[in-house]
Amino acid sequence: MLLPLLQIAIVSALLLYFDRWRRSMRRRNVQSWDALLGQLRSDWSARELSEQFLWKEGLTATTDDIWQRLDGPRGLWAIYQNARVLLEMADYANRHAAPGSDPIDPMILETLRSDAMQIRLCVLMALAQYALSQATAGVKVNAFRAANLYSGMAARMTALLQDHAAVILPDFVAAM
Amino acid sequence: MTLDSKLTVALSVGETIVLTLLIWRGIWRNLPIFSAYLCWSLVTDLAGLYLQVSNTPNYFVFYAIQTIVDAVIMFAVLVELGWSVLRPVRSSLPRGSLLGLVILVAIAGGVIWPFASLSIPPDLTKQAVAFVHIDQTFIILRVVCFLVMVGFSQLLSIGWRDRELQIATGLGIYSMVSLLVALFSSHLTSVEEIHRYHEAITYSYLCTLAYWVLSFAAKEYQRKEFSPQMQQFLVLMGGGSRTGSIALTDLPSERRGKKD
Repeated sequence: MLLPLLQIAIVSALLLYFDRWRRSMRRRNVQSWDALLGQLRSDWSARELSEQFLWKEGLTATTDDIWQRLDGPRGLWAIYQNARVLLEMADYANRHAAPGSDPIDPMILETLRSDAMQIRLCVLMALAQYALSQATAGVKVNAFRAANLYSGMAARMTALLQDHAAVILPDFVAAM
Repeated sequence: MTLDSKLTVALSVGETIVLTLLIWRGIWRNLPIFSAYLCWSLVTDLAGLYLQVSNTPNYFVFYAIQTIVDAVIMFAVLVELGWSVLRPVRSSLPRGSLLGLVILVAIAGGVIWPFASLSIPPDLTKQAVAFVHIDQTFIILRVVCFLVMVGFSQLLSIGWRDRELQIATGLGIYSMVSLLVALFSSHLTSVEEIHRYHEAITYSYLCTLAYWVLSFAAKEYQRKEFSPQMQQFLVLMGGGSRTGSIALTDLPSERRGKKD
């Protein structure tokens, strides 16, 4: 009697997971640009990463310092979620670029995706290592890599908003 | 005409409409194996209908062979779907990734094979046991492959385009119903009862075909605003990221280590 109940429970859980995934994918495919910007995590700020965060690329601090400034796994998780938003922005661009206009160089979109995925992988590896062995050198190196890629992307985003959408720049700076 | 024959006619009609839409919308160019799978299903359904009507004694052999070939093509469809989802990041993947994907699926099949025998209904003939064993292995493997694909794409936040999502939804529903039927069948004893439960799989496939007809008949998506500012935003973000990646090879901690 227990086995059939267990089987039904497993299949029901799979069905629920499948339904949830499908809904999230559908929502992702129809969301607006503003909704995407609004998904950037605002409860954690990356401004501690460097003295000129958002205005200059690259990190000059050591891996130990960056780990502290990240606030450990909390900051890593925020970076992980924001990297997803960056990937979705790349998808948005690919889907909605007007047919008559200058198409975006596929290499740029690819690099953007590749960087965002690299950030997610680095964060996942760092979090997995952290769960097993706390903050070792390997964890900090992976965290540094993710933070460095992230700060580079954020700095380029700020420069662009400053040039082309100064009105929304304060909101963006506050969100980051 | 028996219920089975009526269902087969309904499936053939559904498959013909879906195939027509695949060709009309040009979807077959991106997903040729999926289109070939539907062609195969249509041909086997028509052949099966002929054998049912003519009461040929070799129907069971035909059904067994058809199920195995069907499962193999279905895997090719899953690999194609996975490869299509990975399209934006394909160039970043190592060489031989596709082959690796196929080998992983084969290994998963080998692992599932012994477990699938646990849910075979008792009191079946030797021939039927072999057939059910193969069938259930493929059903479980299909669900596992599907879940791995979904989980992996969610982990890395890889997006699915509308058509891929529609095909995945249809296949997902069909696979889940097949799994449920396989689980419930393991507690049945008579062949008639098992057959009645297996009709649920046919109904689920019919629902899947109806869903595909409705989905493929509609346009893929409505284009949204994508201003030049948005475009430049992405160009700037993507353009400079190479420099950042190169700089990573010279981490401050490594530099410090070299000095020490």
